[in-house]
Amino acid sequence: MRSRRACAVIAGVVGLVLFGAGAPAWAGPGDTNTTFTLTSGTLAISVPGSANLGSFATGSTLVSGSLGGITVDDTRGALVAQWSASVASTDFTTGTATANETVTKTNVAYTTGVGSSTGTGTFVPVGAASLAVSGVAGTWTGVGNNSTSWNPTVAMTLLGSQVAGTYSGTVTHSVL
Amino acid sequence: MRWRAKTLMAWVAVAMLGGFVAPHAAAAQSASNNVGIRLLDAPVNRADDPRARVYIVDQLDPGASIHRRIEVANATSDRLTVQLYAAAAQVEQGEFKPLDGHTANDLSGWTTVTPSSVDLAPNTKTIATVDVAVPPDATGGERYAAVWAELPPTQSHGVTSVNRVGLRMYLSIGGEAEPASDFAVNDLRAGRDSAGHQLVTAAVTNTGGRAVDVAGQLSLARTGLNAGPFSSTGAVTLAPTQQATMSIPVRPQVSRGPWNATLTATSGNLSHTASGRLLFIGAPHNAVPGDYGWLLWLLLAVPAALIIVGGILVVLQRRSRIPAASGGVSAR
Repeated sequence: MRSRRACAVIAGVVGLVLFGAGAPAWAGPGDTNTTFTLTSGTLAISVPGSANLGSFATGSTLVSGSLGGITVDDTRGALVAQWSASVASTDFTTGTATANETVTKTNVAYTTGVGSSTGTGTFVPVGAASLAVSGVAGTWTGVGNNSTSWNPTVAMTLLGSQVAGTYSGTVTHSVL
Repeated sequence: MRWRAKTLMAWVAVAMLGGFVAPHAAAAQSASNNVGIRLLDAPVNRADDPRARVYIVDQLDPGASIHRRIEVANATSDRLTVQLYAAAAQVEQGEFKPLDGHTANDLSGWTTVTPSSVDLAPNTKTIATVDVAVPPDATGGERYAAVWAELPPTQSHGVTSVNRVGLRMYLSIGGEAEPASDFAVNDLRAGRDSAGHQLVTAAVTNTGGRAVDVAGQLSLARTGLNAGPFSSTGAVTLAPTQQATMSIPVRPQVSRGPWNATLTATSGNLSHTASGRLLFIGAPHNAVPGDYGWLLWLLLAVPAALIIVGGILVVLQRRSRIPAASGGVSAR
């Protein structure tokens, strides 16, 4: 009898100690370093697609083409699900990047097109007539998980004196 | 016998084609080709704040620091190296605007993401940490930044495409008590956008001490009719004292009204309502379902015009016949 009681007491004490060690230190109102673990999904962006802006004959004033598709998958399951996709461009240059070998980002226009979405909410395509500063490609507002794909086009306004060549530049999509 | 064999062969060919196509279609649907980021830790004292579950939202004294885990997931079928870093963001014109590239500000400078680069096998994820150490001499106020997971670039025909996905950071520095969050929404107006579509706008003002992300839902009602809810275009992000206009497109369009409008605006677990009486005036975009005034006019006016013109023509014709009958030559 005694040994059983002793075992029970020991078990109880051990249990208390383990519980005390394992439980999170209970936070006071100002303590921001006590956290709990979230189990939601991610906000994800697709691997960049392949762009093809085509080629232009010297003397033409505009060249445009597709940047390749982009998909945003939001599985955070948020009560107020929101994200915004912005886009930025560098200048596009060829050769030694002199004035006539450059299409400045001011002359780069971005058209989002119509997105295709799943989920409860709305995708609003925005786009930018000029990427002199970064613009908004589109925004989502809704409830719960959602996914939107769009295939943007970029149009470059060319100089009358634009030189022939393969132009290089970088377009960055940022989603948060 | 010949046609039966041919028919049989045709069906076999169709079955084989179907068999070939179907698994590929299924594979395409099930694979998501993306890289994602998520917050793993939220402060216990913000357990009931929905924003603190998706963004790093906190308040810190100068000299204090926080440690948050994030998870980066490679949901593609390729091995990828993902760059992780913090960069500047600002809140202006109703938007949370990340700055380009690795542009830095106070908060991004105080933030370290470890590791700075992760090499992920297909369909694997890993945990990284975000440490924010606020210097002891930091001035008070709100700071904004973003923690980015940047994918390897794709290069095609001279265009380098970079995609990155991020976590917003809203940090308030200093103060003994955390400033309260609040906002006001008012001045509901009915209007039309540049393409003529119906639009309702409202003024949203941040009246508190922390940034807010305000999204709205609009309901319209009149006797026997309800329309909506209509969602605002994105959320309006405002730093303290900022104001911006929230737009709620009304699609599909409704009749001109007047409508009793109720707008419920929400940021995290804060919610406010604005109401008003709205009338949509101005030129409709194409036909407005339910508002046939202009169509009725057209249906009456066109036949009336035809009758009038027809009548004039008949009268003119009769007048021209009378002189011909008295002095003309009749056909033989």
